[in-house]
Amino acid sequence: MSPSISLTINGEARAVALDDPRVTLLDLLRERLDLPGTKKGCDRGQCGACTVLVDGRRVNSCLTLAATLDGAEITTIEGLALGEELHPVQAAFIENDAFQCGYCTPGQIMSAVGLISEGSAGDDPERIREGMSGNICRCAAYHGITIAVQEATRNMIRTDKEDAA
Amino acid sequence: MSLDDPKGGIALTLNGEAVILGADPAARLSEVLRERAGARDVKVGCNAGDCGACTVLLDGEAVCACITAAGQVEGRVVETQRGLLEGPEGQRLAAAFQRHQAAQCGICTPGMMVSAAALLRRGGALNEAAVADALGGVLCRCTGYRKIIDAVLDASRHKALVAEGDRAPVSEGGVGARVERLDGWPKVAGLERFGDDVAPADALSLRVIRSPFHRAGFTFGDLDAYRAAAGLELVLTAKDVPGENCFGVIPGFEDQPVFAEGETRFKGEAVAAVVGTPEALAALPDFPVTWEERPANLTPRGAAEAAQLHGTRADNVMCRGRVARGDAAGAMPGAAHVVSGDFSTGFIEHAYIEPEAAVARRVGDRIEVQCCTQAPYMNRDGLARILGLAPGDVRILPTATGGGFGSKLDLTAQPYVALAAWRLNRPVRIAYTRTESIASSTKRHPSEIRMEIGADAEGRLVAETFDGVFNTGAYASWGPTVANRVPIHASGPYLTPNYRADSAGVHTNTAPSGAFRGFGVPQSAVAQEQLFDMLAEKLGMDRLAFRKLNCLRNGDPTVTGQVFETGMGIEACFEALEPHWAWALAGAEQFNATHDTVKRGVGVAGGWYGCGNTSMSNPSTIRAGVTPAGEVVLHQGAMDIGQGSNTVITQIFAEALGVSVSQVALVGPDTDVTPDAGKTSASRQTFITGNAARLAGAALRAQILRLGNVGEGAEIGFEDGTIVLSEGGEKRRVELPQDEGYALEVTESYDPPTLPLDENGQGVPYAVFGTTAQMAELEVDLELGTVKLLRIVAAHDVGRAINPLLVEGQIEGGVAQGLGLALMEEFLPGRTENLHDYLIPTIGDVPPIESIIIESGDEHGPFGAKGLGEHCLIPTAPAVLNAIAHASGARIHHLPATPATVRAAILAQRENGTE
Repeated sequence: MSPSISLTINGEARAVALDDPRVTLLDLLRERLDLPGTKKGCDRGQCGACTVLVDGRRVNSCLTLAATLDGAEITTIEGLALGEELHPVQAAFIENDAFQCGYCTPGQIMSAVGLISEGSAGDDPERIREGMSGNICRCAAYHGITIAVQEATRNMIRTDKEDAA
Repeated sequence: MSLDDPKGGIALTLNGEAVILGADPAARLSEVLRERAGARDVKVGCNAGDCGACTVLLDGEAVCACITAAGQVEGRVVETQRGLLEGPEGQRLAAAFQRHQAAQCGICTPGMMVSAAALLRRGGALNEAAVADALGGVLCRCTGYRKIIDAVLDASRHKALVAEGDRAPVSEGGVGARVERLDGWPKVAGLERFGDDVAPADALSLRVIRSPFHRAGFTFGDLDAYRAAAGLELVLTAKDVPGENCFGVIPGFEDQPVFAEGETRFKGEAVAAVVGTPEALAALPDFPVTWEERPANLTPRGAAEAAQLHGTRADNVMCRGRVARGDAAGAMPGAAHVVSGDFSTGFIEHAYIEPEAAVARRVGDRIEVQCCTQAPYMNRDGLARILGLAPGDVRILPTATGGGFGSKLDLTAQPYVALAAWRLNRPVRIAYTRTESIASSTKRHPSEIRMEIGADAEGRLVAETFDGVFNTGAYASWGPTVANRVPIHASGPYLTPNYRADSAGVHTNTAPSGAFRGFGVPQSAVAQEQLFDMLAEKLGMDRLAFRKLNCLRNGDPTVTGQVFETGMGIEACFEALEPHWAWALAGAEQFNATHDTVKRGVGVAGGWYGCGNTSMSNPSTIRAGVTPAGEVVLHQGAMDIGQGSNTVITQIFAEALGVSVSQVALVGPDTDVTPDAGKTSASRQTFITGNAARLAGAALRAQILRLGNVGEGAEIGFEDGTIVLSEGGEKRRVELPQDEGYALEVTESYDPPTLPLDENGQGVPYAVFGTTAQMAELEVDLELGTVKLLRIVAAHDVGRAINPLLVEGQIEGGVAQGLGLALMEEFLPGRTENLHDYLIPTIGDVPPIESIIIESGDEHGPFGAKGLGEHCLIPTAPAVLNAIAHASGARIHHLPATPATVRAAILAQRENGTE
């Protein structure tokens, strides 16, 4: 008999039957839940392309066994935008051309969202580069990525302030 | 255009001229410009886009020509350094580079000037950050970049001083004047010719076949069949060496084969060479060799158990060194405060921007080799032994040398081209690839040092023990020099009554460690100067005051018992730092009171270095003459590898002769016409060759004055084949003898007075020591482990600055190499064989450097001058490490202090609460 877990994925509660208890969150998302936005670059935690948020924390989904996530809240790249309205990080990536081929971009964006909510980097470019250093970009769009994360951070802080006011 | 469709040639505008170049559209633009268009001002340093030496403008944008396909420039505009010299930006830059001495060896200068020209054309006001951004892709290993920044900023503000053709505008001035480099103009005008720039068009090319394993046996297939099938002219192996298949630099330690026999001892060792047309080499099939990889040992730790590399060297110990004075073991327990620690450093690559290159041709029964080198006569004698010729049948004609720093003392490419040209009676050339250069050339010795230092309650040094193990690699090279020199220097320039220092050079299966600026002393200073800070902290003393209290003064014995009655200048160096030190400490305290994550630190360190060979004869000879037409000619054999000996030696000679620098014509190193001025190493040229030049100038002056029967104070001049002597308002003319050759000629030699060392290392190893103290200010990001350098202040006692402009250049360049040693450089055999994995400081990594020149004079130096080259980087790394510790509390024991290492040290320090 296959184990079953309940997950909230991009705001939607789902019961997921695991036909194999060894399945990673990455494979679960891509192969079974029809969410291929999360990318597989190395399947061993080296490239960061598979970064998603689990209960708000950044994780490499390729190194996370789905069976350990019962009750968890998962956010993937597909769950960021509110309808037609892009998440501020997504908007900043487009605004600053923070990609070339785009393959690492879902991981970069999820990592940036996590980093901004961690609040440890602020808009200091050195800290942003360090905080994003688990996400590799072979097209070397790092310059644009750093600026995009800086800008998104500022925008989100401003929005938070406006919301509070 | 399509890359597949050359249509008979690539049409472009090169330096304003429409040209069509027949070339493979996929070939490197750099190669096509150099070999097809004769643009030898485009230099090749790496062929990987790392070093920027090949930078050209493509439609006005700076690009690396080595990673631009020739086909991509079809129909476009390409400009090189030579072409830019026709325009206002290039002219302003050339003048400013020369005015500031922004070119030392000159190999990076074309790339620097081309990048800067693009920046200047954009217009607008410039600042340092904009210059660093624009030039960030071009590496320089000589200058430390500061004078390049100054020159570009200056060029953006001032109009050009246009020089004519290839003649430099010569500035005047004798000893002590800021004379611009006499050989500077070719470097800034794109006319300088380096090792790979002089081969004739019909030269064959040579490629060396090297071991891909750290240790391996090997067998060849059918080499004759291979040669025929591959269309090669020649295949060379060990059996083709007519003389001895062996070279080296220290008598009794010549142990390196030109081609390995039976087994290779390091990755990158040569086993064979192939010679053919460039086309044949481009299509070379796999070389028929079968490798049998064998267990290899890469560190001294496993050396005693590893296979013995050389017959007589048990436990793979090449040699040991020792200096003992007083009773260190007996005195240490009586010290009020004792500190000790283990420190280690890795392999450091010289990373000159010019890879090794040579071309050889046979002339009758003689062989001539043009090459970049630091030691023409040593190269000549080494080649003669390999070729089985008399030394006089080998001629070394050095080209300009694009940086050396110690590694171009040894033979590298020369034996291969010489053997091939000898056999084929055709010119043969080679330029090492960057990977080949890094894999096979010598390195700075990795060190593992344990040191203990004790002081009394007042802070005076009581005793020191030092034990250093140096990884000397597969062959001896200059390893014995390092093993002998380190124990003499490991005390630093401090009065140390009880001292015991032991060193060992140990063989491993790595590239040979050899000479590199400082010969082991920078490594020992890392240990000693960091322990001094730890000791000062225990004593509760100011770190600079502790050093000043203990530094050597005139009349004090060194650890070898040598006493300098004059010229021991280290105290003056520390005193010169004092105001900067107080200001920097106060600034750091203020900054740190308001910053939590980023902390500022200040560090200081001292250093010293004995000029010339250790207790060994190392004479220099200078020849000079006056032609029947009245031209003064100086045969200046001291290899100028960018440090400036062409200028400095001429200044000394001119001063002694009593003429201006512009009246002296230079004949450079050439073993046929210029006598042996020894090797350019160990900070010996200004001191030793300078003395020979001083003697030669004085001897020639005496001859001339005698001819005219005038007194000592007479002024010497020349007019149309006559000597004009002016004395007391009267002029006397003396006709020059109209003989063949020189009308007047002198040859003078100088060998520094030293005495042998006894079994405890007591004696007089050097006639001259130069001393230095440097201070570093920096910020450490405690969370990221990153280090941001703010400023270096470097005080150097040079005895007498023959040329302060060039002194500053040496200091700034040495400091930059010291920063690399401290923060980023480590060669990992088999892994970091290029300039993107092996990192050296870029223009953005070197902070402002303030040079303070101390002139304490010297009993033996020419006009009181001492050497300087090595000294500049000895205190830099420990000053930086001491500043890191001051900022963060974390002590770095293994270099380099990369962010990961610094962060780990900070975490460890927090966990243990101690260093």
